[in-house]
Amino acid sequence: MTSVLWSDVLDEYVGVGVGSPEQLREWIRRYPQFETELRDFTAAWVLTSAAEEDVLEASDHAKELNERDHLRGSSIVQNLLHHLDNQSAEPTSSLGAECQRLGRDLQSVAEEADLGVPLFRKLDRRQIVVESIPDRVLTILATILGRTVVFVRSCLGGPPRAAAALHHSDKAPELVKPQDFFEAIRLDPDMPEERRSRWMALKDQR
Amino acid sequence: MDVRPLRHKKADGTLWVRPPDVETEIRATLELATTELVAKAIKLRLETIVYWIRETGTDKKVRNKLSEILLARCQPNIRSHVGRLPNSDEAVDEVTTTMFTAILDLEKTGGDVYEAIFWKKLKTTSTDVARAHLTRNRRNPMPRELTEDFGEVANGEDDLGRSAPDSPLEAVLKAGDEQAYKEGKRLARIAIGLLKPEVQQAYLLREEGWAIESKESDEETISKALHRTPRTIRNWLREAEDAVRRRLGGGHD
Repeated sequence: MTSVLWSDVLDEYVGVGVGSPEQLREWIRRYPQFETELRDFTAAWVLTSAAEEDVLEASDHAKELNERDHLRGSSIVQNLLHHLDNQSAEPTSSLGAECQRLGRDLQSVAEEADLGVPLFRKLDRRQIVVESIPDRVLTILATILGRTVVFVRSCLGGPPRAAAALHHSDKAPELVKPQDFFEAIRLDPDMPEERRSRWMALKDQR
Repeated sequence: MDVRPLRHKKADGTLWVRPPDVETEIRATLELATTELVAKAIKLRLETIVYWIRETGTDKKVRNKLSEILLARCQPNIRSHVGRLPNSDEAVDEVTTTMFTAILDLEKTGGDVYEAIFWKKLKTTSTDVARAHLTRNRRNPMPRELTEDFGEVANGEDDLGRSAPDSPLEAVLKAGDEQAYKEGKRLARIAIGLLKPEVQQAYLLREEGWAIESKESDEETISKALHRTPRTIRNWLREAEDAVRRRLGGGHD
């Protein structure tokens, strides 16, 4: 099966029109690897379409919401632009440091992100090839950490960091060669199967 | 100076192209001084603004200004798409982040789609963010929902022994008053908008003519789309119909 990006399938699906059960059935037949996603997307589509009509009911509350959205949105865009222009100049942070900044332990953030501790530690130590990390993971981490996707990507990129425990040895710590994200998922012995299949489903979407 | 061609491919392998009117508008802006471009940006198509943001030669200050204009012009639409989600602020921010990350990432071609079909792509991105939020909520359901799916009822009745509800709007429609029907539908949408997203989805899919369940295994149904038993869907529809009745003043309770 040729690899098709989920976002490209979506653009095509939306182009022909979303909504009817017959259309959905046809698209699931065409892209069976995205069966669940197509179904969930169609169910979400009716909600976002209905919500569009709420704007017609414009009110002071809607105005206030829009103003608040714009303030937060401006900050997001300015951060993205700032990081884009200063990516190489800025010292990079790490997931661990970000958890500390928020006063949260690594385990709770790992679970909230649905990654589990072993994989989260690998990400923290930059033992995962940053280009192999799906955008969805970056977005989830960005949301939890209150950072931008660009910032999170900069945390996860760069040379691997050694685990603290390794420093007990007299020898210089041996750095592990970075692994592909999905390879790490596949080989994680502690990851529950349900979680593993959820993440592996993203592999086809890349 | 030529208009930069798009590089991103569709799922069928063909390249995205901009609609002719977008191409024409971009062409008309090629010779503009940067100050003129920014001054005119408020009236330009958003596809054209994205084109200039993604142009490598665009001055950084101009790019930043255009990004602000783009945000200001599309932000209300983002809210309008994901406003019914429980944590809608978070969803609005996720859509903004996803969209601008794609547009500003010149190493990837995905941002090209915003240069071809901006509004459609924005709605697609918003809906995909909504999908991810709803999926996460489904994985971490509220305690009440955990108890809803126990047991199947084969005869199509809900847990109070009632069959699938009829729409309270149908009675108005049968009476033949189109104006009253339109007003009723508007009020129904308001009532439904206050319910849990899953309940809203069930109601809206039903409104689109979807069946709750089917004997045909490959038929798409509300039950399949929302990953819930037909019994739960009937309960949700009952809840939605009750809310609509109350809003319409039917006093069903």
